[in-house]
Amino acid sequence: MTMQVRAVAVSLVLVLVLALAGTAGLSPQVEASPPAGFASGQILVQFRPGTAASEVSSAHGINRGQVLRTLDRIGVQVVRVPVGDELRAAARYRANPNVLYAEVDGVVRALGFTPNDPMLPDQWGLARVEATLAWGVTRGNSTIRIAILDTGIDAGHRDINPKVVAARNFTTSPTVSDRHGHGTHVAGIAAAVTNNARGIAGMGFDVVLMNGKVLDDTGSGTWSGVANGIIWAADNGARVINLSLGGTSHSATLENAVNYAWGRGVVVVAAAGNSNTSALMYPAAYANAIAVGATDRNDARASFSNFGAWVDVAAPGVDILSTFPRSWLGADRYRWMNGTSMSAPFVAGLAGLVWTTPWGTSNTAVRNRIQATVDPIITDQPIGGRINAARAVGAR
Amino acid sequence: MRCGQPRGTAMIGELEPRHRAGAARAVRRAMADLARRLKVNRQGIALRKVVPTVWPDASLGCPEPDRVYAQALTPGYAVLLSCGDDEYEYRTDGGRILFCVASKGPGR
Repeated sequence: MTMQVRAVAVSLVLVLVLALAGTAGLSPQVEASPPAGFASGQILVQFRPGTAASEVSSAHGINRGQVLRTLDRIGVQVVRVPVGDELRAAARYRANPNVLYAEVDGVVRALGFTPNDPMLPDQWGLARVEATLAWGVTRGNSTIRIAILDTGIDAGHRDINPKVVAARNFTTSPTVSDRHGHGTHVAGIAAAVTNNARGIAGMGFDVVLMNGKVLDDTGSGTWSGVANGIIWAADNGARVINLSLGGTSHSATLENAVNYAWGRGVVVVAAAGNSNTSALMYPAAYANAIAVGATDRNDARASFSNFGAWVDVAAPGVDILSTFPRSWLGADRYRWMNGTSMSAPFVAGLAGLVWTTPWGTSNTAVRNRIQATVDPIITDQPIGGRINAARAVGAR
Repeated sequence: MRCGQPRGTAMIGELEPRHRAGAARAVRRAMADLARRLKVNRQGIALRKVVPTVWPDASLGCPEPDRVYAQALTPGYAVLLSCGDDEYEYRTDGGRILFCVASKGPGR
């Protein structure tokens, strides 16, 4: 018993000495819990300053370690060890008095960023496209303008209006504000004010909005009005144009406008339509627009979504919560809506984010990046893969 | 113009309770509009059918070929009215009423 007490006391003293030495920055690192994931077949080792090269070589020989490379500035060696032996090898190195510390080479993943918008838990679509992971890499910025060409954006809604940097009315409505609801909803999905402890988060986070009212207060518009809106957006700095609208007739004027915007370097995103048909919807079907179909909570094609090889990508479009024009009392409102109209702004917001990544070199590059990083989905008819924001911005 | 005796019965009472108020409002507005269009007494117009519907977009399933529409699903009602042997279809969403298809009658 006495011997045991003495042994414990000696151990405590040793620990105390080592801990005090640690304050000088030269103590062996106390073994910590290893990370959940670490690189296979390699560990990180730092020898004490002044350790002879022969002793370093001897330590590697004993532990079957091979120096792969050295982080010169901090004197850390990346050492190859047998696969599966990483934890034990690190422990053996730590037992060598010449070793300051040895640890497995933990795999670091993007932590993401979770904004404080209280309705975020109800925004299943953002979770599905892994938006919070993406926001750990980029949250966009105010140089990126997304033009929402729609029924207008509510002029006083506190969760969306601060984002609007330009507005123009191309309809006969007396106001550029939104008296229908559709445009305000679409705008919120793309880029509601985010991390403001209010309402919802927007896919584009810090990107800003242009409000081009091309649909009247009943939700319909003319080809010329939409074409005018596209040209206005392209000429006034839009990097992305969202068109949550469409018709079943081709219009050369509308196609010309889409091509004009594309030629000015703008990413054009459009809704594929909600008639559960392969019939083409315009402008989505034009070559220079990204046609967006809708998915549901199960990552399946939404029952209403149009489909076909002409649909480029899919995004959540069922039970989507977003901003809605204020009540007559002035209270901010939010509603759930359904449709490919809701899917398109997820893609538009993501395009805004991708513009701020290394893939944001051109509209072609942004479009290719979004389309190349989709996740496969369950679908009875083709609507492309579902966008993945985290992959698109390089978060994983 | 006269419609003659109205035939058919209103089916609003057969709808799920959550649809009844909206359907009744849609029918009232449709009848008022048709009476105005045909210049007939509203009492002569019969309700043939009222069906809760989710339209695929803001066209309420009745698009004009040279226009584009907001692509959000839009809940509302299809209302079928008659005046004599002629039938008239209206479509509604929460806020407006659209005279869509006429089997005979005044056209759009």
